[in-house]
Amino acid sequence: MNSVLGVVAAVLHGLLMPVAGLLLVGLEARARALLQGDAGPSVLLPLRAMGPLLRKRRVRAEAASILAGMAPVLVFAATWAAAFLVPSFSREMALAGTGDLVAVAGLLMLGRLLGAVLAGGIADPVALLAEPALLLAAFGLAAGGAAGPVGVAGLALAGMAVGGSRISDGASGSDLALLQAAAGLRRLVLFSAVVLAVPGVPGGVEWWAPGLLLWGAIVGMLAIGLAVAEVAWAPWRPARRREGVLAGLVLAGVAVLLGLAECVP
Amino acid sequence: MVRIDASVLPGRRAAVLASLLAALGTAGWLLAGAPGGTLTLGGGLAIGLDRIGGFFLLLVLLETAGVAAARDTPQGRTAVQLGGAILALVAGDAMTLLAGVGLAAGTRRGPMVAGLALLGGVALLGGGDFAAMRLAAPGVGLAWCAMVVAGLWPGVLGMFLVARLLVDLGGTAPGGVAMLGGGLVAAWGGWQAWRAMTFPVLIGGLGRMLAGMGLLGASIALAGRAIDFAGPAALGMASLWGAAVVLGTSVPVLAVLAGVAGTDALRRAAGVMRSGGFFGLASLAAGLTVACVPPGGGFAVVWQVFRALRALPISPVEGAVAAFGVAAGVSFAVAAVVRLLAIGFEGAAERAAAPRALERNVMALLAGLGLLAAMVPGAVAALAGGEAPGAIGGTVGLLMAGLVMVTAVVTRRLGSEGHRVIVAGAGAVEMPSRGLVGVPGLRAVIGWRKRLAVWGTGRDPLALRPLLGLALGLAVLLLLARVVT
Repeated sequence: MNSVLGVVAAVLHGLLMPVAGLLLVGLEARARALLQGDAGPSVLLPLRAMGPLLRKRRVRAEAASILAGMAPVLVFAATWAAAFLVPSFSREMALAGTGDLVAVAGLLMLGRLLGAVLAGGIADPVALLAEPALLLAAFGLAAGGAAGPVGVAGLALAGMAVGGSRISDGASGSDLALLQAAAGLRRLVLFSAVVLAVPGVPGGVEWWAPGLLLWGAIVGMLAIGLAVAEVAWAPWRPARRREGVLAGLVLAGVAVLLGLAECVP
Repeated sequence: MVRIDASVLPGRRAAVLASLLAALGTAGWLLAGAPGGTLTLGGGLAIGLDRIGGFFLLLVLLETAGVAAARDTPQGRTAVQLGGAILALVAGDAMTLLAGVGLAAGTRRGPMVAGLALLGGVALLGGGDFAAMRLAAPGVGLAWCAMVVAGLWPGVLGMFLVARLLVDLGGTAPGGVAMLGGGLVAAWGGWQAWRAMTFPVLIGGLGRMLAGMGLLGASIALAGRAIDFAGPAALGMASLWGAAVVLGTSVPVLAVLAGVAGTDALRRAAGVMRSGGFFGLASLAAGLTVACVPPGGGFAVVWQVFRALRALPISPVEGAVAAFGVAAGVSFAVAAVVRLLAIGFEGAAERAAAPRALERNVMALLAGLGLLAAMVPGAVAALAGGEAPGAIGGTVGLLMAGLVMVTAVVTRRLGSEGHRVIVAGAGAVEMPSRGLVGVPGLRAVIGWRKRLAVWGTGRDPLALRPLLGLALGLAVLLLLARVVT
């Protein structure tokens, strides 16, 4: 019975994640605007914008390469696949144990690589350190003990600092929709990985409703925390987020050290 | 008389064919159980091919085919260097190994001399006889030597030396030093690749990063062996073999690219991959493989290294340096590959690149092998009783294929036969690991060749219903497989 429920949970989770990713982007924008004294856009705006964008015709340059046609789909699918592997409202989803955070980091890295190629290169190489931070944090988290909280902190910092990635200036129509959705989804995956690592978050199929609420609350708090940090603290403004990624990476590294120190007999 | 800079064979086609045929023969020999013995040549030299030498000989021959397919490139190996590499691979004792490595080093000077001197010192142990050296168990000295070798020889030969020194002759060599070295070499190689402005530096850097990962794999295997911990030891060995396969198949694709671009400068290769078809796809596949992102063999190596490191009780400093080194190496490699692909696919073409059929086919073959390398370590680890990353990779690959299909259908961009290409990919990934979707996968593999070009063009869209049905079917299969297992 649990297996069937696990499959149902996985399907629901898979459908929920792209929508939640867009809501997260909307929530961040709304919180940022409110903190700056503006009314701000609706939380649902990114979600509502998807329909018209998906229906719009794609404009492609005559000299566009074969990759330009494939990359937006691959970027979104890779990020979506990563989202499938990180449980949200229940930890007994059918696919939750298939991969681990290393596989999640790999899929996110694939999406970031293809997105950066489409954008014509890397604007800031430091942005590429978010996934390695996830790798290292995962390493520390697996060890448990004192490494856990440090790993969670590193993961949260890296996730808040670099969630999305630079979107190609030339993207239009469904290409743009897919790249925007992937950017929101990427941040959601990193935040969900943080939730996964927080001790005490309920697991098991019987916990769906409270699990959903708790997951949504933690992810929402991280998003609002990011907006507060951006408004109140200069280093967290988008142009200077590299410090956040580096700090996240360092914390993740400390988590590795702590984790390994606990493993030594 | 053969000049030191003479080409291997006068005709590129002949060289490629000869290399591929020799590779086929070597693969057959390995599949037949690698029979053979040691032959003493006189003058203190002995030859004898074993499994390790045979495996690396296969890779060297594949690499040679790739390098020979690249025209007008300084990456081309000379006859003497190739002969030296082969002599080192079939060496039956340490003196022959040293002679082969000396010849393969060719005219290169500087740190290579130090490396050769170090190898010479190792060769003196036990009188140069491999069996005596195994009993002598030189320990930490061999670990240091392997570290230097991995840093100096970033190619397949360097990886072979690491395997020979640590896995075969290492015995009880401590894994810690090699683990530190592996992390540092991986990070250094990635950094070099990221800073590279030319193809030779890029290729050298990526090769060095993979050599570092191979060294790390070997050190993990040693550490696991020392405490009778079969799982991590198997994962470590699989990482070493996987890194070698990626190095021998995907890195030469970049040499072919340089040959097609007709220049060493990365910037001048703008637009060279844009021609599409096999050439573009092979470049992309090789780029993803060496950048260590899914679904390439490089990612399988990273995955196994992390799994093994987490499972082993190792010193925090060694483990942290190793984990940091791999993470840093991979992020630098991703940055390097982003730049290469951005220049090659999206850059404004300075010259019309026209890859020839030979180059296209060799690239497609090597890139395909590089992608399939993800399966080899999985199979090795599964046979050794460890975890089976191939099965996990297969499920994740199938999941991604299904999601690509759903996304492509929803955004109405799938070409008429694009879905079969996806199923072919999913089938090829899944079949060896779990045997799922065997029939549709096989059927699609048979007809994949003519359908690739349709992908991404957006013309002739297929009806929505069968595609959604197929996507749903795949998803149900995947979830059922998960439930059953």
